[in-house]
Amino acid sequence: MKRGAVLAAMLAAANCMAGGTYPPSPTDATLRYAGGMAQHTFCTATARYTEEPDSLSALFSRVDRTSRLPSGGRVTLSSAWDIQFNQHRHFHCTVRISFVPQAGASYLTDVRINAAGNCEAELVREDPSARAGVVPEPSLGPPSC
Amino acid sequence: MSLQRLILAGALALALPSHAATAIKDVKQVGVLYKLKVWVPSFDTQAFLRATALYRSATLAAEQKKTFFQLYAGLEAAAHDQPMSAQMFERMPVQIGTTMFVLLLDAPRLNAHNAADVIADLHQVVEDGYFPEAAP
Repeated sequence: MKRGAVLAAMLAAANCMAGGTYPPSPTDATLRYAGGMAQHTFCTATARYTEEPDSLSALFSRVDRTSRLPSGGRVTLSSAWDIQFNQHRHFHCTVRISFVPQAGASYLTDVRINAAGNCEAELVREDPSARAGVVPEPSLGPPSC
Repeated sequence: MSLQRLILAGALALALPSHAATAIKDVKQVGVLYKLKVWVPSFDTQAFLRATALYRSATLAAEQKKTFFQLYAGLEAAAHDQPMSAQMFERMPVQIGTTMFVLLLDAPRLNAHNAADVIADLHQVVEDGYFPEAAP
C-alpha cells in the first residue's frame, strides 16, 4: 500500500514535470487562439500538460486553433507564438497568462507586439451578447505554477 | 466629401511618401471580429500605417456588405469597447508593424467609420500613392 502511494506520487510528479497530454472532461472550458500560436503548455495547482503542435494549424495560420482547459481552478498558460509581418520582421514570443476557466465558457487569446518591441498576451471571454463578441476576463492574475 | 474628411485626406496625403503603395496587410476572422495585420516599409510614416489600416478595414466592410466599422487596438480594448483614437495610431510601432481588430457594423455609432467614405478618401493614397499636391 505504502509502495503504491509512493509510486503514485512519483508518477504525479513526473507528469507535473514532463507534461502529459490533458484528458478532456465534459466540464472543460475552450480556449481559442487568434492566430500565430505555435505550441503551448499549461499547468494547474497539481499538474502540467503539454499540447502536441497541430501541424495543420501551424502550417495555415488562418485555421483557428483551440484547446480544452480544466475549469474551476487557476490555470497558467505558457505559449510560444510566431508572429511574422514579413521576412525581415519575424517575432518569436513566449508569454504566460493565468486565469480561472469556467465550465463551458469559451475564451480567446492573442499576442501582440507593443511599441517597445515586446510581446504582450491578452485573454478575453467570448460572449455573443457583447457588442464586439468578447468581454473582459475578471480572473486574470499572476502565473501560479 | 465633408470638410472634416477633406482635411483628413489632405493631411494624410501631405504626410505620405511616394512609395506609399508598397504597404502589405493581412486579415483573419476571429469570432465576430477580424484580426488585421498591417505593416509598412520601415521608412514609412504612422500616417500611412493609419491610412492603410483604415482603408483595408473599409474594403473588408464593403466585401462583407457592412456600412460601418470600428478598430480596436487589441482584444482587451474590444472587450471594453474602446475603439482606437487618432492618438493611439501615433503610438504604433511603424518599424515593426501592428495588429488590430475590426468590428463591422450595420449602423453608425460613436467613433465608427463609414466604409464608403474611407474608401473614397483613401483609395488613391493607399493603392496608387496619389498625392494631390503633385497633381498637374
